[in-house]
Amino acid sequence: MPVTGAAIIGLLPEIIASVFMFVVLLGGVFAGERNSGIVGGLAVLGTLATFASAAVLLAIGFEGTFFGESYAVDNFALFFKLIVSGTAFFTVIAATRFAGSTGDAPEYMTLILAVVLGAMLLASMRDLFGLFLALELATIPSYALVAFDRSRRESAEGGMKYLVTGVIASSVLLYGLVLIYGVAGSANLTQVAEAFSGELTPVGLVGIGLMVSGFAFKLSAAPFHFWTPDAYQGAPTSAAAFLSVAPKAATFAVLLRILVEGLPGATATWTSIIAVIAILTMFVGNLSALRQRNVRRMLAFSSVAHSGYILVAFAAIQGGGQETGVQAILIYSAAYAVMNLGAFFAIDLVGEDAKSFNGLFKTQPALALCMGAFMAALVGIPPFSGFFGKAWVILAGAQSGSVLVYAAVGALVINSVISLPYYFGIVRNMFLEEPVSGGTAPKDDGGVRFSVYALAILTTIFILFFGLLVTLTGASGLL
Amino acid sequence: MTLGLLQQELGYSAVYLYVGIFMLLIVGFVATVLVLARLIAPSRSSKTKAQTYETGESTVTDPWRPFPVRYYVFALTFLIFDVEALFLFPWAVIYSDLGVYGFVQMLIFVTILSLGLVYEWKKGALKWV
Repeated sequence: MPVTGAAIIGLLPEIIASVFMFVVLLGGVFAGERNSGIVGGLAVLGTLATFASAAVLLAIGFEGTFFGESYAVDNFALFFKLIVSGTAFFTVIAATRFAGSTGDAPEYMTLILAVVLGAMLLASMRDLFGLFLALELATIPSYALVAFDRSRRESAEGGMKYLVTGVIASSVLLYGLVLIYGVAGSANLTQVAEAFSGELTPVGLVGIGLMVSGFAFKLSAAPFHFWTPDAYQGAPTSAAAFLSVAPKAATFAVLLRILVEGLPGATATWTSIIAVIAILTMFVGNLSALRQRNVRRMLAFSSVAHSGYILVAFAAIQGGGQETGVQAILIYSAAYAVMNLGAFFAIDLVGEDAKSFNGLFKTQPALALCMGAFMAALVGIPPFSGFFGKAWVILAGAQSGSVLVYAAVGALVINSVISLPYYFGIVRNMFLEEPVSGGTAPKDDGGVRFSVYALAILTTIFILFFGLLVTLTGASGLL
Repeated sequence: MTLGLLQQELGYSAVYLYVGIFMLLIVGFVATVLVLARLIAPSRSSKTKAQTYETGESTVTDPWRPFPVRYYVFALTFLIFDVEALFLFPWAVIYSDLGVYGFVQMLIFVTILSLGLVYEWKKGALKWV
């Protein structure tokens, strides 16, 4: 299969990301000591160029499948590439100071760009083995990212736990993919869809079950979420923020593609598996988050809960809810990206103990307002971004016409109420408590501050992009 | 009833029966031998038997202490050239069929790999301390 000119254009975001991956690494090494400025600049440039190329492809309506239909560039994939490269942009800005302090800035930035590359490939893959490779390309650097902070023991501990459990999950996922391949006789999703159009064989059922379990692990859905709090607590803040958003969004994208394009015949099976996982995930995430005093851990459990909310939309892709369900996943992923990234970054400026947020409104009013916006968005209060995600998920669930999905939507509403105390606990600390005196405030970091402000603005004015998002996701090219 | 008859009766899944029987045989054999050895063999341990022998050296200090892992450099370098060789050999076999297109592709691949070597070199990983 020769590479055509169209394929090169379609792969432009990935090509740019991989070129910058090497440029950042080698540029940083050749710059010698004190290279964090150059490395940070190059990484920002790289993510920006990647974002721009994906945006241009989306704007000109570029579509096509390459390499024997195993790689699809459509609006759906490009949308997720925008999310991934956009979050990477804010992450590298916020991470520059930290990366410089470790003395290994080029490596840190290269790892982030490698995750970007893997996640973007993931969003486009239509081939079972190709997508496994892309998933590993996004996952293996993230183990290193979690363990990157050598000054803290928890970082190594989190990285180790993440690695051991992640490898098991990868093998479970691969086993599921292999069984599906065995039933279909082809790794291409088009042929998989044909093979799975009839009645489900036991082997096929086991394959779907293992595959969904493997993905549930990567998405930190219950009961496969145990690595999440330790990994996010140990990881450098920028890495935790990035990993909780970008690879997760891409994994949602590829799971959606497999299920909708590859297994439409088995919809009844996977929607019910996912509905059960979603209900469990929401309750486990929110109930565990209630008990956390460490904000990082709390946000880790909150990310578990949000995976559950998005999975409700997966379960709703049946009956009349198909189109709205896909839309809900796209909108929620974008909304979640801006709010969660910002909330994590704010920890770097304030501190990870819930008490360190006390009286923040008196000492740093702007930052307190930003954090308030993120918390309100995570609860799902209009007009902040999270509201639109949740509203669309509920809408899709209502249209699905399945009792199990109605139950999942009910659980979503109950869980939104359960989540109020811990999100607004932070808000109360910021606005009503007196500042704690004598505590050591973290060093101010201009890059992180910029990212937090920018993301807070995006979270607040999400409604302005909403019309654009709906048109985009309406023509997502998946259905 | 022979296995052939059984296979007719149970159909395709009877093939797994052979695997099952083999598993039983293997586990049974190993278990029997181990139990027999435990029962029959005399067990007389002495200080001489517990000593290090042949290529082993008696330890001078506590062996559980950190030591520099120099050999990881070998592992890194090996990784680069191993992957290279893995793809270069099959490529070389059908090189004449691939033409310029194949040449350019392999050039890109080798360039990416050699960037890894450049990085390693520049990092000082090739210097043996």
